[in-house]
Amino acid sequence: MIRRLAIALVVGMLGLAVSPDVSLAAEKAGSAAKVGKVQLQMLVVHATTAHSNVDPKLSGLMKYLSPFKYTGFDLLNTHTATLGSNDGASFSIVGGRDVELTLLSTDEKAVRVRVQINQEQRGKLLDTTIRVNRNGSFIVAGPKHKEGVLVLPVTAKY
Amino acid sequence: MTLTPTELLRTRAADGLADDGERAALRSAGFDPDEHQALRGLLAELLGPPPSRGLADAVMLELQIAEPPVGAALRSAAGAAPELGAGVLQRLGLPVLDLGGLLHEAAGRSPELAEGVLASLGLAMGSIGGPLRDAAGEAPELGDSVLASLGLPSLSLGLPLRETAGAAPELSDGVLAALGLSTISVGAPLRDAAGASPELGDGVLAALGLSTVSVRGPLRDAAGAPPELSQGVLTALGLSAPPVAEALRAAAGPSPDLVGPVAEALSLEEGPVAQALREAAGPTPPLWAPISAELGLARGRPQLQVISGGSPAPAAVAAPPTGRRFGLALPMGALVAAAAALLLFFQSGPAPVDAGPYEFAAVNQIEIEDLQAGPDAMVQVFQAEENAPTIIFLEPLDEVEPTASEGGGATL
Repeated sequence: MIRRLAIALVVGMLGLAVSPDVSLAAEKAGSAAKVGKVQLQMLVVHATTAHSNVDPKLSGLMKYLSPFKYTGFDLLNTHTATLGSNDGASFSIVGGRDVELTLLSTDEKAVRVRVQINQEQRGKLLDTTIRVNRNGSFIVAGPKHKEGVLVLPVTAKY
Repeated sequence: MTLTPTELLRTRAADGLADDGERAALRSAGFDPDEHQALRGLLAELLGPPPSRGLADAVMLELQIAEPPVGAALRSAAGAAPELGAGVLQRLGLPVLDLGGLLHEAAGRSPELAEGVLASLGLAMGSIGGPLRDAAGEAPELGDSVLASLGLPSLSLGLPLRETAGAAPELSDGVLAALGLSTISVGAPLRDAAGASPELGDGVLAALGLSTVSVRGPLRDAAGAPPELSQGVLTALGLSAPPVAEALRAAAGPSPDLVGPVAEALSLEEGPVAQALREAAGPTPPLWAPISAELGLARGRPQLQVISGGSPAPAAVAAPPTGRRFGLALPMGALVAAAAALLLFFQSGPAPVDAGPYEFAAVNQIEIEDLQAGPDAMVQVFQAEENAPTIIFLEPLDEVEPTASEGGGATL
């Protein structure tokens, strides 16, 4: 009985996934979510002078970091959170640091994001509120890590 | 004959010879001496001889000879007046001098003043008009000021005149009618008379001994396929390829949550379904890696902790290993896991984490509303170029301090 139910469920789900009705419902849900939900993406990049390797995924970022002295860029991690207004997400990054992103408000053109960086035994390092344009990015950099610093590009996609 | 004293006095009074005493005696005798004098004048005027011509004039008139031009005759007879100056000077023993020449010589050549004046004015010869016009500047517009001084408004006469005149009447029809001619359209008859314009291209080519060729096709064939220029152009302009993937994702928006509609369409609740799936699947095989590989996704999921209200990150389904029904559970588990992966894929968010190079928007504009750093940290704000992502650089004070680069910016 359970197996039949499971098979029917899987087949039904696969069929519904491509059915026009569900697609329409999904489209409606997506359009509704487009207004209120924002995807905040934060990369954790290690900029270093120890080598000259650049992660291929960071090629689009290099032109913005070229003025600095670092020659090697490693992508350590990628954090993504889909948030509504007044929602927040906290990410733990290397060095015992926490980055907390809070989506304060959003409109068609821009979002307001609060960025807080705290470190164990040091407390608050940074607390800033930034208004960034739709699909725009900003970069928080500076925390030391090994022979370099951490670079944290943050993008608000919606 | 003798005159009485009274008559003698009256005669003297008439002649104007009486003195005051005689005139007083006459008045005492009853006579007016003035009346006697006036009567004598009247009689002398009336009785006097008529005016007579001079003798010479009378003779010339009698002889009928016109008055001779004596002055002219004398001047003609005298001839040219001799130059007496030189003779007088010679008689006086003085030299005859050419005073005009001496004066000219003494005065010398008259100086050319124009060059000096122009030089003093700093002007060149022959270019007086231009500098003068330049110095004078543009001629002022006097019309308005004159009208203003006369108390008259400035008027544009052309427009009022045209408005007053109204539209010009169409005279051609009337003139043609008066001449007995009809109004005709010349273009149409000419075109009708000319007929269709002949196709000259073939004829010209035939006259030149050339064949009719299709130029466009051979040119295209010779040119070959157009080269791909976009990448080179973007590189030359220092631009990156347009972020199509990002634009598509932005246009698509977050992926919809399908679990709810699916469960609703099946009239099921999420809890029993998950439980049934887990029971049917049995022990969970290590599916994430092959599914990710199949879907083109990288391993691992980001570490995410939702503080409040955010979309929760997908959690790995952990079930205690049982080891039962392995023969049927494996294919069933694969199907269920595929469905679960499909649900997880749609639920977890639109952006594949490691789907390729990260693209950044062409325009990145931020406004920092508030910025606070810890007590032992310093913050600097940079922007590599216009519309580039702004860099907020955090520098803990007890760590290595940044050094200024040659370009004026700070060095991380």
